[in-house]
Amino acid sequence: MTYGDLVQRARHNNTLLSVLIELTYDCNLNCFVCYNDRNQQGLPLSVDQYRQLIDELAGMGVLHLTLSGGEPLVYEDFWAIGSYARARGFVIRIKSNGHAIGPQLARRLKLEVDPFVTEVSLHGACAATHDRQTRVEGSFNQLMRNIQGMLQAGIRVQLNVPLTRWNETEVDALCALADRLGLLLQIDPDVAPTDAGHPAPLSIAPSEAGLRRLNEVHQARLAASTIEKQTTEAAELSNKRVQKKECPESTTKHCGAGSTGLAVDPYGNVYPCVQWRIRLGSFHDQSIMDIWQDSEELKRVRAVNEKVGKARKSARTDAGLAFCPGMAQTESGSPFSLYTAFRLRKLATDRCRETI
Amino acid sequence: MANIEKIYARSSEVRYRILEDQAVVVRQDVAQVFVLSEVGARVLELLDGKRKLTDVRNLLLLEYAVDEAQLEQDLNEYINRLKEAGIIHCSEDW
Repeated sequence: MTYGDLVQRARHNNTLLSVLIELTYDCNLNCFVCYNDRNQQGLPLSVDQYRQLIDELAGMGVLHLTLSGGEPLVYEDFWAIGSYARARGFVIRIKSNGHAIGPQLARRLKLEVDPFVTEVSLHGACAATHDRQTRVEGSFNQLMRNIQGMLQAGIRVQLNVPLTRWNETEVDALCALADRLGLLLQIDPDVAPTDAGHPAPLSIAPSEAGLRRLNEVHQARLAASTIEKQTTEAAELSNKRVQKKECPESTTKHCGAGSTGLAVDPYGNVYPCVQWRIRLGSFHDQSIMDIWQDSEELKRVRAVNEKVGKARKSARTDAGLAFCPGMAQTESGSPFSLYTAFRLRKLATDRCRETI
Repeated sequence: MANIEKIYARSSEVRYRILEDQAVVVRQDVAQVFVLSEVGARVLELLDGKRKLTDVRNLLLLEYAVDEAQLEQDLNEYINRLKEAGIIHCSEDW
């Protein structure tokens, strides 16, 4: 059985694999596209509660733990929580803006937390664009310096780029920058409203032309990597074909939100996913296991996820496009509706087809 | 069995969980994921850096209905595969 088969089976069986923890909404940058609701109120989880949470997740067999924010590195107890998670054997992912991770902090991060990968947000291929979007002068140059420090410390770095109207003309340059640095690159074409429902980030959503260009670049890079893989993985392919015969339970769920994954905000509220902000319960009141097994809201989310899965599979014109029920729900109140970012991608894809 | 008195432990770069009766093993340094069978997962759990391989063999003999000679052969082969994959180290190699 492959790992992909196992994940499919876990999704079918509602086996929790992956949890994202938002440690704080405080941040040392002020990004225009940030989706966090910085005005959210609540009682923050204590370090002891985080340790309890991490123990519970380890006991439930959760493998992947993401520490996010806000900016997780500005959270005062980040090191206590990160090192505790490491000791409990998680594959740790850090989602950061990289602004605070200078050489000394990078070494400490590797030593104490040892993340599998540290994802840093990049907003442009040059200082003018990046700094415009982070609204902090000098943040691009500092990030470039910090990335070098992270690499020297032995940290695997991934660049996460939120595609916007301000940086969409730099897609080629962003790819070149990532290649030059030898880094993984993820360009996210979907700009979302804030978690509080404020639409301001949508005002710089990428244009149709920007999305088309991203699509073209993505296809070209995919084709290049496929050719490379075909030459090196020929033997593995035959094995995979044999393994495919062991059909795992198929799942009709659209995604892993609430079936293999959960998100926890700084105040202990638990959600199916960082994008799907339906409150399932609070870690102040219940254990994660209790929420996982007994939350009526979670049962509804799983049922909705199955319906979305069936609806997306039967979609005639846009079945291949990534669809996020969480973003749909945040924007319109319905997890089934077409949201702005999806409409934009669909439009760009349709135009590409027309051109072909 | 050549290394029966030796002690094996999971590599410090390895993270793993038992999932659906199988072990998902991640080698962080090379970003590789392995899926081990139920028995393989049990072997990996027992290789804790404290038990000798002979203790692991004896525990497996208690837990599984298997011929001793066959188990020794299979375990030996399996240990070598785990070593080659960088998932475990022999204590003498530390």
